[in-house]
Amino acid sequence: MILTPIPASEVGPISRRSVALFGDAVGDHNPVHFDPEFARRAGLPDTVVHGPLTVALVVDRLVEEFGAERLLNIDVRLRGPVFPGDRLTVEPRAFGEADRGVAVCRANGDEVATAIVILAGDPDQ
Amino acid sequence: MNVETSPGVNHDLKGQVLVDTEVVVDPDRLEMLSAAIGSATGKVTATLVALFGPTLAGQDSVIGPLGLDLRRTLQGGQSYEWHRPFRAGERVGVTIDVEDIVEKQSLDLITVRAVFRGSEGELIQRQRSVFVQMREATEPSTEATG
Repeated sequence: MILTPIPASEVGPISRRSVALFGDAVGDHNPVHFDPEFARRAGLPDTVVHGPLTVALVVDRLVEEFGAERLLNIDVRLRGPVFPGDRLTVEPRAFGEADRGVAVCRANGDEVATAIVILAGDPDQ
Repeated sequence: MNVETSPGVNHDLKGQVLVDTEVVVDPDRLEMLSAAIGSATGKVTATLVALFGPTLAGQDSVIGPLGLDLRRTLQGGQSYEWHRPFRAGERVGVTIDVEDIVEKQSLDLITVRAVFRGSEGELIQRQRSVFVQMREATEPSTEATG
């Protein structure tokens, strides 16, 4: 089975303005994304980027590479926090023989997400 | 860290529909989302991720009934199954249900499913959002990210 390769790319830095815009756009005003003191009381060093914003930025890389019409499905596991100011690398990753996707890492190497991606035009699609 | 305890996740909602309504895909919100993405393809991408099920009808529509405590809840997963993009200004039907609630060690894993349909009943998109809530008043999981 030959799956369409996903090239490596970069995202960010993710600004606090982007976080604010995303929160307003989707109506997610959880203070853990906006209030540093709330985040610290939750045991975090800073506010965290919305998980779906991280996902949206990864989807955007795929849209740029393949076009929206080829995207059928993405299944993302959020594995670690992303903070404002982070730059992320999006690297191809195989998940067994049949699944392919990406791993998303912070600049310090922390893996913050993995995603299985299904594109139209791949075998069995 | 000191956090207050709260009653915890309402397991009785497993399998229950929390939201069944219609919403308009707001062009202004699409613009905000595109700006948040901040790329040349942001406008297109925004039409794929325009609506986030758990908060589209207000934070109290899903978060509140489930009993999620935002001080110790983070998002652990998000999936999209696309059938077509959202269109600016269109009215879409949305059904949001609690697909599953699983206890795992000291965590509750809550899967919220959102299904979006167009005016002709055609499927636009399915989403799944997985939330992770600590059941005890302890540090949040590093497995989850928000």
